[in-house]
Amino acid sequence: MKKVKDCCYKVVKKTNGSVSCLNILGSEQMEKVKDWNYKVVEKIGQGVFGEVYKCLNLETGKKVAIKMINIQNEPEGVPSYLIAGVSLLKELEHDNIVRLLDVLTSGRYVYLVFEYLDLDLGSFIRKHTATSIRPHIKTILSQILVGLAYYHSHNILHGDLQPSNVLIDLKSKKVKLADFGLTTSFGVPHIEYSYNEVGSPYKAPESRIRSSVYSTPHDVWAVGCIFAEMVSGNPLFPCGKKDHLSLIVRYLEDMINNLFICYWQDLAEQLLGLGLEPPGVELLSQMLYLDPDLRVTANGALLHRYLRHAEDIRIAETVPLKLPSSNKPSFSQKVSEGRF
Amino acid sequence: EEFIVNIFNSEVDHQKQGSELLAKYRKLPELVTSRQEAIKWILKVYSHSQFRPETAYLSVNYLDRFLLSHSMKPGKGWQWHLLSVACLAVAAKMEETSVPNLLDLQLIEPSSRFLFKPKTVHRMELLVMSSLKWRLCTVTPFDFVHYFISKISCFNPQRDGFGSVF
Repeated sequence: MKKVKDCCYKVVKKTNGSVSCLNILGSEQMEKVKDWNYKVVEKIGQGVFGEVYKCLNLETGKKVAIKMINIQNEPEGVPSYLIAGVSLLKELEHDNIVRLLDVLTSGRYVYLVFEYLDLDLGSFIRKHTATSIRPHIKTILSQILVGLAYYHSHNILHGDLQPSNVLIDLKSKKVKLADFGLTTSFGVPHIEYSYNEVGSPYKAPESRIRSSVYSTPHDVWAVGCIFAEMVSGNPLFPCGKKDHLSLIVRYLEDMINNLFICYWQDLAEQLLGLGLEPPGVELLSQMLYLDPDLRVTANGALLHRYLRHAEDIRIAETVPLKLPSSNKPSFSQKVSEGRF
Repeated sequence: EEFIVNIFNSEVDHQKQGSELLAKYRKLPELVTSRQEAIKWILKVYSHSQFRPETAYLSVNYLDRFLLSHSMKPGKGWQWHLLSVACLAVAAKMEETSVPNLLDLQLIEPSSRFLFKPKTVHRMELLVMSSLKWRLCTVTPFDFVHYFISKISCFNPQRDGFGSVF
């Protein structure tokens, strides 16, 4: 499930221009949402279990993401992953987590209505320079961790943390964790995870070695990767041209040998050069700790001195954020960066 | 610690519904007999298929909460049986690692009169879940038991209080 969903995100990104023609083809079943006063804007994703559409609530004027799931008429009835997943999402109510607003059913189709925000951290990082992101890193990081700590306190794993799943609300200045897939509760064995997703750069090393090990430290590792990506502007362990696994192995070898010379040292120096404070490097090393049992927890990370007073700095108080389309630094941005 | 606070809070939420339901049963005593029969069937299947006790608890919880939002006529046996099948199926899917398919589930303890198509049960499942607003993670007494047992047995010095919750 997770693997295919990742691919789909890529497909959508690549074919941004031609998405509109897909809309008309795939949205036959989405016509139904009109009855509930939603207007389909565009298709934003597709997975094995359904398609995700951006929609508009005609009553409130708010944007929502609707995930349409087709339940095949299996002898099992409504599949248990759907029952367990939706009921878990229903229990989550937190400022830093995208809300499941409604669950609608019609015939064999189930529609999950999620809160939707236009900007995700992935495009935010791509469209801004490292210097303009820097003042927001602490706030974004601490809000991600607050959301994650909430998940974990409810015995829920996010399991798929990556910048595109971190949404930013410019108006309320909130960062919200999203997962338009279905989150997993631990304690419930999940078959999906036995597939090895080599494609995800945010996956913790222990889950590559033993795919059955899947727990809260895994999410913290992913936050560490996101943290480093905010500082440098590039994925920490990029997959693609360079062999992603060999990078991780190099990193791990350093950690095992306690050498801290090669990869990690380079990385730390690079991040320090990019303006990350030494406590930040320390926190990052705790989040990327090899042994999942000794890795810092979400709550623990929030108590780290790097994030002290982070809640006092609200996003965009120092620098007004903009939607990715407008890249020009504003006057106040220049001021705060000391260019005047 | 957060975990136990959470489950206490949601327990308080659900208690309100409990008293509403009691009031409803007092007004309509004939509901009680139909309910008893439904529960009897659920418990039979539960013991035959060796489900977890949580499953039985949740099935009855879903059944009761469904009755709060829908007025079922006591006489219509098939409705009641369909409801019990759907509640048990949903609860089993929440709690069990392997769940028999909808036909086998009914055949474990065959009702003398009714056998529903999987498609029908499937629809009933959706109706039950949307009536409960998909609030299916009800706190059960077992949650408290597990928590306190883990507290008692967790004198492992390497683990702090937070770790022992999981």
